[in-house]
Amino acid sequence: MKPQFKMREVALAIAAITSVVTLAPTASAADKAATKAAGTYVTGDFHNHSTCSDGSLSLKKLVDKSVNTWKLDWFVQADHGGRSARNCTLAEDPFEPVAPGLGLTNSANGPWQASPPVTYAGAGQPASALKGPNQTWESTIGLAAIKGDGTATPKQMWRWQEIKEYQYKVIETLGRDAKKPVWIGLEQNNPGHEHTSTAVLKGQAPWPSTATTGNANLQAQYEYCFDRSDTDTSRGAENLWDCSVTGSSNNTLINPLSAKIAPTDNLSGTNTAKYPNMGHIKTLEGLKWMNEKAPTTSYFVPAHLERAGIYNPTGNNGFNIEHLRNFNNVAPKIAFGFESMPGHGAESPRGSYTTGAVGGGTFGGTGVYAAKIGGLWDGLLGEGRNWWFFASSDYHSRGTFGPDQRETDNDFYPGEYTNDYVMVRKGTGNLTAEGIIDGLRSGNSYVANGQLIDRLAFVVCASNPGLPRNANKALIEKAAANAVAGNGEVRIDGCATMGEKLIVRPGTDLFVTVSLRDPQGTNASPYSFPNPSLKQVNIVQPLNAPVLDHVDLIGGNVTGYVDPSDQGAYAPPVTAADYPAKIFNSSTKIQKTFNSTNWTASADGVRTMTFRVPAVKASQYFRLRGTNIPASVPFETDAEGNPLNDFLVAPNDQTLPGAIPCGDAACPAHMRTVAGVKYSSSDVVAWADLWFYSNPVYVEVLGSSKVAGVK
Amino acid sequence: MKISKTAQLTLAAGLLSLLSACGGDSVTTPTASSAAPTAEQVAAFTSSYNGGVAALKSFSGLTSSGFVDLFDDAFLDAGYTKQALKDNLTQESFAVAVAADLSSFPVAALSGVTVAGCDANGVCTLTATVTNADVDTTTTTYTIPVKFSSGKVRLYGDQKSA
Repeated sequence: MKPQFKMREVALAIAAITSVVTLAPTASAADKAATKAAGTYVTGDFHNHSTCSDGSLSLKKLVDKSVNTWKLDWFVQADHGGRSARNCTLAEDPFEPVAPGLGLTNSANGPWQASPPVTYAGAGQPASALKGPNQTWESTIGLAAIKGDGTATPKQMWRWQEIKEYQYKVIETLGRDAKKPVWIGLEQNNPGHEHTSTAVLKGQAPWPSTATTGNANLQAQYEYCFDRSDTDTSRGAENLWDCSVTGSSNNTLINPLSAKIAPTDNLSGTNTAKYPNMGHIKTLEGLKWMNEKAPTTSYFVPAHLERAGIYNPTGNNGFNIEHLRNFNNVAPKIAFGFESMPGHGAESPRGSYTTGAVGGGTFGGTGVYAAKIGGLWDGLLGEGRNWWFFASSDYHSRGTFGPDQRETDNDFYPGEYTNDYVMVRKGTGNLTAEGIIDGLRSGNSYVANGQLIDRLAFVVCASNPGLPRNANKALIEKAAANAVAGNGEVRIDGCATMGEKLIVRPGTDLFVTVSLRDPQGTNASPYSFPNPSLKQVNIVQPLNAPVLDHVDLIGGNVTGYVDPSDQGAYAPPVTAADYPAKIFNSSTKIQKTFNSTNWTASADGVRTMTFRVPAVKASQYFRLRGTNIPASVPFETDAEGNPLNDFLVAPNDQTLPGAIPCGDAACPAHMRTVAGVKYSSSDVVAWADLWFYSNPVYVEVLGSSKVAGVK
Repeated sequence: MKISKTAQLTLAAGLLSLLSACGGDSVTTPTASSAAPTAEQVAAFTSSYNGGVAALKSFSGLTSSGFVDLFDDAFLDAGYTKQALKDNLTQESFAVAVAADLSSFPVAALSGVTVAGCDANGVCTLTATVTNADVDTTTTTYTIPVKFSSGKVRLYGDQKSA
């Protein structure tokens, strides 16, 4: 029989799921400061690649760059699912010639003063060399040791075997050597969609654990069972894996041969003309499986989710709003956010988004789902969901440059350009992977590019009716400034921070207070010539010394979850042409813009600002974004300060001239050059146009809509 | 805790009726004076105020007339009037009574209080250290006009409408 999964049936399935899976609250109480253990914001990245999939580095070099060169506090190595021929557990040959650095000068007085060096000394080799991590599994461990299906020459190893038998122990060792939590994840090739950053931590024993029994068996099994590129039918050879989910009605779809949802004529178990929507169902089964096996130590964060275009029931494209709702409904503790700010920041096109992406490209380096005020993200926040904003570096390679060169026309190293700052409540103990995943899940995090900011305290506090307003304000601003100084958060009863909510009566006055640090000196950019984008408006600012221009406080109303049975609202029909104008939350707007005229500045770069909301009436949320680009900078921002499509600066057609000349004598040679004129492009564009995004703070007003996604 | 529809409606109705009933008050404006309060008078104000603020997390504290009397009838601070104070306290007391999961609000205690610079109308400047000690102690200095009259110090506010 030919299975059919129309969207109506998918919706009903989701409705059934949500009737049995509790929409568990996932954030911590806002008004009980004493319940919050001490914590700090730590930096990390959960989406990067090695030669075990389509990356260019060994595990060793990738981890070394991330946690040593760029000093990330934690790191997740997450290759694609499927199979590959190369053995990423082998390190680069130190005797191979390394492409020379170009001798670019480095910061002398910034936060990166001591590191990195002028060039990144270290081993490396041309990607074409069949040495180091580019050697094949077959040539290094032998054909007989490679398990599962496959007849290619050389034989490729399934990712489940790489993870379980080879990569895990290397990653565990590298993390322990660096004394940082480093673990194995997976960039899942989602059935029915493009990609998602995932991890199943349970069983792994990253630093500070010293256990000798750590393993990534569950992570490996997840890959076997639910990655669309894993068409192996071996059940993990001797593992004899079974991919069923206890009690799931979709177990009837499982192929007895492979023990996973993979019909004989559709071993990917994905969306096809014959099996429409099957892939999405299978992806949901994966979430249910995580929820059963590792409910508090798994995560599922769709990556660069605008890139592949809108959802296609007969193909593997992107994610519409209803799919994100489905994920969040099925497993709210696991599917709690997205990477709407993609990696590949130096690639042309920026973020690797072509004009076929939803929205037609990136906007200041961010996809339209989050960059658009009132867009898809605001739609989800307007429901009161725990749906958080993340970013990743998605490191694959340096493009035409060597791995130790500072220029790049493809990817930035983890921590070099993009940082996720995540609150981890570790008390006096060591940082742990479990604590980091708790932090990711909490929503108490923010993202900044180019070290635009490196500290943030963002709170919404109920006004004490017995305290004069300016005393309230002074106290909260001081607490926020203290939090920034300590890289911590405000812990005061009646104040909620990112990922949390306040519950207040109608008529309560609110204080929305922000304190952040614009680090002084220079960032990690190798370029010190004037920012070409700002030069258009007569601002001369070195590209490696960005200055935060302004902060937008964005807010919108919360009106409650959309019910899956209401298909018109739950899964509104969309076409690619609907974006970027598509509005999902019409109440969302810029509530206040802060800049040097209305924030309090100190010499160490700390900026503090407060917005008072008198007599709140309806449930709502607040979030922040900020940038070094003022409003109305040609090709970069509109009159309200919204980021414009990045193709305006550097058109998708690489033969066309750019919009912003890069005329300084120091402008590098790899810029797009047309008729002898160099134009801002590639990594220069990325360093020129910096943004940060915070996660939201919710306010639930008694008698108004519930913010159901947050405790 | 979930709040039933009935409770929500009751709360809303209560708040509305209360707001409509709120009017002027009967506290007499103290006579102007140019004399500064004594240390004992300042200490008495500080003690009463700190005690009142600390009690605002409870229904009895929110409905205490003694706390309201620490504010001058002409109190106006960043647009916040004495009437607004009274309305807020009353509304808060209703909310506390019906919603157990209501968030609190930041509390603070004054210390090192000095009152000086009194003018002919008895308007002086109070300078104090404001402290919140919930978890990470937050301390900042703070000044606000107060009115000294009939031997009592009362908060007067900056007299600004916003």
